[in-house]
Amino acid sequence: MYTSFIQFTPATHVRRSRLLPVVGTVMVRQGQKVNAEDILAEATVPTHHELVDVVRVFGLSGPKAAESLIQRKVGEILGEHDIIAETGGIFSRVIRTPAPGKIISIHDGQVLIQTETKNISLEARYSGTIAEIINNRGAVIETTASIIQGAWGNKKFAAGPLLCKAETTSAVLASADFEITARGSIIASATCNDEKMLDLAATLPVAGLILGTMPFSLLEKALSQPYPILLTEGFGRSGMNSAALKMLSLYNNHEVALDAGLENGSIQSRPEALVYAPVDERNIVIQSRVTAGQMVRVHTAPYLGQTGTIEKIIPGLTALPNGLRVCAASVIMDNKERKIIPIFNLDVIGFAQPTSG
Amino acid sequence: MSPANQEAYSVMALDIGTVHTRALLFEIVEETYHFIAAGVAPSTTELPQNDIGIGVQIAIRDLQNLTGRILLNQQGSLIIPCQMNGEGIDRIFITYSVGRRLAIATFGLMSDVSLQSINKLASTVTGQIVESISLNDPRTIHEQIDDTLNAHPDLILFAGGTDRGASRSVKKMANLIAAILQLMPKSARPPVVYSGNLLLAKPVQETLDAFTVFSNTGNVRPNMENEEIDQAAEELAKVVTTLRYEEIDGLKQLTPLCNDSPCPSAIAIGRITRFLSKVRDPEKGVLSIDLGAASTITASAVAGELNLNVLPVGSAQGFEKFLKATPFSEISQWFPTGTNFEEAREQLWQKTLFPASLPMTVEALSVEHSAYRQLLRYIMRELAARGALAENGYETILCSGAALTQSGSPRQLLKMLLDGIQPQGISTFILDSHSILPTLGAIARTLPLLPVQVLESSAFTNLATVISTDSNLRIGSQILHAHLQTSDGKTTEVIVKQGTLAVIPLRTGESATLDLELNRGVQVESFELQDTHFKVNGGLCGLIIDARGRPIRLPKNPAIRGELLGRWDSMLAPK
Repeated sequence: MYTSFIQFTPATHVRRSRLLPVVGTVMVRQGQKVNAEDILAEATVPTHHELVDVVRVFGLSGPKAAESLIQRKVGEILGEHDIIAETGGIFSRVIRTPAPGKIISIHDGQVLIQTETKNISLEARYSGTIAEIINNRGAVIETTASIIQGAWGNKKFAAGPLLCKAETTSAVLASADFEITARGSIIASATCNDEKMLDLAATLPVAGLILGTMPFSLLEKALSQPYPILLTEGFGRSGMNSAALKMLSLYNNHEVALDAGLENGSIQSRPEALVYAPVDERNIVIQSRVTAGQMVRVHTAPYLGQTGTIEKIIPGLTALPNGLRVCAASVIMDNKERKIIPIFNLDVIGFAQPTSG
Repeated sequence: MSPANQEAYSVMALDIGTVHTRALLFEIVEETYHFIAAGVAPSTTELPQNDIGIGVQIAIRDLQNLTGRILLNQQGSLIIPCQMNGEGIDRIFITYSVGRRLAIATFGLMSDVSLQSINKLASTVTGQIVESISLNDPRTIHEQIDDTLNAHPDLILFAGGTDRGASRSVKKMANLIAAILQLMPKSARPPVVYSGNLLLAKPVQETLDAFTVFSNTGNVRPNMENEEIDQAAEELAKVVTTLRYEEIDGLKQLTPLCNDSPCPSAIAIGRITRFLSKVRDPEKGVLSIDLGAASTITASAVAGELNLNVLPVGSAQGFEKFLKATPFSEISQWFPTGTNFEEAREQLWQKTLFPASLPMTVEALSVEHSAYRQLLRYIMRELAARGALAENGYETILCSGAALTQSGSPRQLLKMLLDGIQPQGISTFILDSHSILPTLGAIARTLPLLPVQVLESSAFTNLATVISTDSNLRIGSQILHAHLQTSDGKTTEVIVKQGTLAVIPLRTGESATLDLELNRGVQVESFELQDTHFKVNGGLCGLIIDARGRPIRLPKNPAIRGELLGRWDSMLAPK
């Protein structure tokens, strides 16, 4: 039996790919060390085009007739008011370019001109070493970091030092957590129940927030914040699971890259916090196949955000109090209580290769 | 052709969904095909597995465990064909609904003619129309080009011109598409599917072939009066499957084992629904609803005329889109009294983060069922807006997908389906608890006998026959008198009042004759019921008379509404 998995892992070798949304020029080489703000690649993106239909404007019989009248070639650069096509003769008629640009194609009597472009550049975002070049698109960066995966993020990115403010799995983010030394940091707490705290974080400003849970009523406010917010558990007030909190406490003051689910090229990444740290020898690889003895996190009420260890997988189907018959496991929770939980409500804590994003 | 001639004693179908992968086994038992069992595994399309083959292997092993049949050899490969000792299988088919929504750009000549038809074709695949351009588009040409480029389409569908109709406009549109394609990097150019004027297929191909992969289907609008979507949808499915090979790791590797190319579940369900509509009451339709995790497939067919739609809402990954599009009050109106609204809202949004999660408490299950009810309302409204519903209602309503077939007791499921679908006239609800429906459609092309025989078997569950009345009489007024006589002579008399639900016990496999005496002002069918004496079949929940009217109107006052929902609930409870 397989289920989903979640990564709250001690530091290990991590690879993350960074891609341009379009073809461009890669500016780094394999083996090069990069900082988060370094530019990996650049591209020019066309933003505006004009299509000039020579056949229609001159009222010609067809594309063949237009061919001899078009004065330009593909790839030519056009200045303001440059002539594209001309009928010739005493009363010659001309077609001028509607804007300066570059001729992209001439096809069936139609001239396609790229008239506006914009330059985009791709930041490394992660400090590390270039492990691989992806031709014309970007690169893969390798670093050593602990991974704390999230359930939800507000699709923003930032980096900064980690300040773990939670001492318990139910600690509530409070105004006292935003002292001046927290400016520019990524604050971690178990839960936040007050939207004013999200605004307060923006005014300080913090670099980002890592929370266990947040009530759904704060969603719009969280989406509108300029900084990234990551929830390790999801929506509610139950707080943060003990494995994630332990990890965050362990790496207090370490530098963090907080990706709250930004798009990377065309790939939507899962929200995560990478906490830079040297490789931890205790690191173990765990597959997501569910077996007895594995540490799991529950992601569904009424045990949302609680962790425990699988005692056994119950054979066949188990009837829940609501009558549903499901594949379930007997889980010894951290408080030593035994609970029967559907396997689909569990995440195996650990990670599985490959870890490249 | 007999099964023996086809040498297909044992047939396996793999159904690869967003959440689950199923391996279904069909075999000849006493000269007819029967559904034997289904092995199930979580789909393994995402990290860490990222290969559907792993989920397929686990599902087949599960099937082996269930049946005791050996299907895989020691290397883990399928044994094909079936051996003398009974090991292995003879045929294998694949259906799939997994895959992200494709971004589709549609091009047509007139917005209310060919563009409408091509958009209808687009709605038969798991996708979303990101750009639509017609000759009467108010934007300038360069705006049309830039908007299409910014929409990053995965697929371009192009219709235009009735057969032997306008040619210049089609060529003009083909040139526009050519211009757009030239501005895209070669590796990112979407394939173009042309479904327009057949006489122009060749020149259009000549214009576009140089830039991208070009396919030609039949004309979706051969003349102004008629639309022909079905054949084009089958052709389009092949193009979509080719796109999916690039996206879904493992799909292409499985294909050589199959006896037909992998078939999108929507196309397969469409085929079976169309077939059933041909063999059933030509006045009424057959409706199939497959509420999947990421999307919902609906196939509505009357006398062979199919209307197929893949809607971007579902019970798991597609749940977020539904929640965003639906005021919470429309969901909460179905909550039982005492439900904590804030907790309920959080539960539903949490499900968007963990789509496969299951409700663990009675309250949580009620909340989830309330959401599914409203999700079905959303689907029915959407179908009505697209003109995709049969005028005279449905004789058969086939329900597939775990949310509709496995998320509760038969009575809970029936309540959800009645409130959500709100059928009209006389309908039989059939549950496809093993998700067989798409696989039958995929197999139908090469083994047509198998689906026919399996449909006649007990592979599907008859949930209930429902008679829905329509009346303007006051709540509590007597509206009909029903007299049921079973084949063994037992009779049941029921008087039904406006605003109530009545249950007449009639077990699965039993049939009976039903006489209805309708009071003045009461209708059962939208057309005049000629005969009020007819045969009905039993089901898990028996025969239901739903006299709550259409649409069901719930009181605004929460206390009164909660009391009414509780009363309806108890009316359906077994006596």
